[in-house]
Amino acid sequence: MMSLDRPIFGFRRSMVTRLFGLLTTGGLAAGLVTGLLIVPPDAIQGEVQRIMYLHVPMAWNAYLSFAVVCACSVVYLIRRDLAWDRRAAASAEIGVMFTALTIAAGSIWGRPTWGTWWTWDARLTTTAILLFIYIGYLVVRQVVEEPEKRARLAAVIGIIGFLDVPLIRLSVQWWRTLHQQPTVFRVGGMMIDRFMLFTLLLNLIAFGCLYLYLMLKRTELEMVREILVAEQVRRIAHDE
Amino acid sequence: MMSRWVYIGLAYGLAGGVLVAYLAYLLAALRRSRLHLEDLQRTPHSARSPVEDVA
Repeated sequence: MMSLDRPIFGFRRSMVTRLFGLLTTGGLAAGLVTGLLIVPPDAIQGEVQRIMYLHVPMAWNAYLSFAVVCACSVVYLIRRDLAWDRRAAASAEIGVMFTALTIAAGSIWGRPTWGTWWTWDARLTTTAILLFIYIGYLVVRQVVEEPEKRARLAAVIGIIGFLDVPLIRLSVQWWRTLHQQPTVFRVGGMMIDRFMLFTLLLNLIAFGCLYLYLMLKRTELEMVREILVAEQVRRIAHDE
Repeated sequence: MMSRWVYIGLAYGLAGGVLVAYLAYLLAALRRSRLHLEDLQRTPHSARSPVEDVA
């Protein structure tokens, strides 16, 4: 039997997964302690600004997830190799989870800061649209049974859906919004204290490792399931 | 009005809970699928394994 433990950039898959598992655990622990206990509170927002060390990395992870969906979908349409479809599907599922958590954390922050859980602000609305597009993507994957057709349809949705990401990014500049303007990537330089930036970057790296760890596990699951189905089909054909 | 720390606890607790639940689901599903595959492969069958096609 060929091993499922295929090398990734020359390293054993199980070893890479374990490494990212360890990096995630250490990174999240360090990020949590720094963000909740060490970094001083924001001068204007106070303690509640600590939610940003969670909200921002999750939002960036969501964009990264959908960028991967888009890239894998393009590669799938060119090569027609289902391995790329598997990667896109795994990333979409993780992206949906991060988008939902981003909206939830933002909403919890919004209540004490803006005085409301939700408002139809351009940034919030375009993010909600992103969530629904990729929930639709996952639904389509469940509904269509034929693997090639499912992969083709999903790839088209995955690529078109990603167009919403730059729209989310630019929404705070194009429309007058309640959501704040960019703090890190902005014309005229960053508007953030160095220690706060360090805490944010620490959490960004930890969440990035978490994304990679989840991707490795999720694609592995998809691979095992596909082998299972193939084995069952082979046995049915053999019995007949 | 709720204390600011209640909101912080709510946000971190929700995110942590969902992430741990998703990870638990992934690991459980992976373990179940692997066991199922091992069960199938324990019973002898024809020469070529589909593992070679997918992996």
